[in-house]
Amino acid sequence: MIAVIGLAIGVVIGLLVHPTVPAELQPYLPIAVVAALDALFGGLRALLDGIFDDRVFLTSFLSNVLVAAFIVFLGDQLGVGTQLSTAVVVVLGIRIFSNVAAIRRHLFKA
Amino acid sequence: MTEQQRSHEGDEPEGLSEEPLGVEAAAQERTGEDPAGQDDERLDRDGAEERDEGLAQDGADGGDEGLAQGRADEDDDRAGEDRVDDERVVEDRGDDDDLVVTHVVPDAAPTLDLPPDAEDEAGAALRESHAWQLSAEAVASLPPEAPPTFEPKPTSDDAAPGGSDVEDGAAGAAPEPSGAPGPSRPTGWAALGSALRPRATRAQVLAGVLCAVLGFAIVVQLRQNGDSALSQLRQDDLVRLLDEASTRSDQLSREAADLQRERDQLVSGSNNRQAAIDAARRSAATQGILAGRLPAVGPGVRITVTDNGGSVRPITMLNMLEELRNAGAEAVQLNDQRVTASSAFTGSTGAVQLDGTTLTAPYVWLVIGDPDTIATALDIPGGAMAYVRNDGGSGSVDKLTEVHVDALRAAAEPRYATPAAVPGS
Repeated sequence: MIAVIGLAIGVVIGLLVHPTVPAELQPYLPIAVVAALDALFGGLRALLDGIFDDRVFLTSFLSNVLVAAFIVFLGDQLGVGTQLSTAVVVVLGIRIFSNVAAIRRHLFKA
Repeated sequence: MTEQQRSHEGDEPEGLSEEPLGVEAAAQERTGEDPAGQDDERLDRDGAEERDEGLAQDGADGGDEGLAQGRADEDDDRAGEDRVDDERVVEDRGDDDDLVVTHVVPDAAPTLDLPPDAEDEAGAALRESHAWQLSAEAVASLPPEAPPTFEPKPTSDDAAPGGSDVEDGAAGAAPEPSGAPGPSRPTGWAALGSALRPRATRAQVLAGVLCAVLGFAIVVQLRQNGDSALSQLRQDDLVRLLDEASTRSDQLSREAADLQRERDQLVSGSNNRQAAIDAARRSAATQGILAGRLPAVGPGVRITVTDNGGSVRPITMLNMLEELRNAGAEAVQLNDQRVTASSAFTGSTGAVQLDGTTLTAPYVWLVIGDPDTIATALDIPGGAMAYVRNDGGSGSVDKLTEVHVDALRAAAEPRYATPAAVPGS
């Protein structure tokens, strides 16, 4: 519940504050968002597995975001930023899907 | 401590087979050298322990490698759980020897009051998945008499990759017995519901904060995405776009220049054509007047020649015409007939014919030209009027500001001559 409230609070803050993303960070924000979503679903799955641990959740959240951003940054430096971004999104997407499959199995037994 | 512990536990199958040997060996050594002093015993004990540690260490290395290969994805996520696990084990076991501690989990599992089938399943699952994977909650919540219910491994296709794609935060994923003791551990919707209950635990607050960050980032990204598509492109894409745009711009400007030139040509061409048309029209007018195809009006003179005795000769009329042309007459009409370049006076005295048509007196000339010049030219001594008077006729010249030459003459179509290309045009 607190997580849902936090999500709503974040959305509201984002709507109210009207922040502008610095130009240097703009390529990394979408990747970071996808990585954070991945961590979020992973945490939800762990919760349903009964093994949720806040420390693991925090570290996985942060490391996911940082590693994803770093990979994209590295790709930009190497001149394959677009391809690496796609790769990161694909990998994270696969993980999200498998996590959602596990969550679904937990919730719907199917 | 933790490392060693984990390595022992992670290497369970090997540890089971080897470590008792180590213990036995140490015990034999110890018993065999009982008579020796305390120092010796201590030394030997140290030696035995060292040997055991060495064994355990080897096992640990091998086990770690196997783990790394089998569950590389899980290691990190599991670390936190393992640590908790170990701490609790140590707390439970207190001052027990290391070797005993290593047996904690496998020994503990069979001693639990398990139903026969569950026991078999649990034991197999434990050996299969290395006992240390039991989650912290599972170990902590294992009361001695609580029958742990292990969920069977998911066998669907989706579960298969789960082993290698265990996600962050999901430390004990599908392929392992997620130690969820039935009564104390809610599953499915119940777990979700209990998690949704607002509690001020650290986990809940942390998840809330992270979710707030995520929501914020999502909104920012959505807004950013909606704001401008260009601003978030990376440099390479922008350069490529710029190149394309400039190339396209060059093409377009070239095309514009071509079209401009074509337009200019068309405009000037139409101008030329209009000028040509105007010139042709003027020329046609001039030539039509000269050839007698068009009526004409302008200042001029009217000459009336009376022939009282029918004594005016054709040559007199011809003289008159030539005198008029010399004086610059531009359009000439005699009685009802237009006089042109091809006109001819024939006939005889008193019956003068113009182009085959007999003229009747009085002969009236209508002439467009400079009236003064024409009048003067006609009246000069020995001129045209003098001829008329010599023939016995009489004549008068009236200068008029407006003379209408209305008689027309159809120009004969040339039978032989055709227009030739004019050189230079």
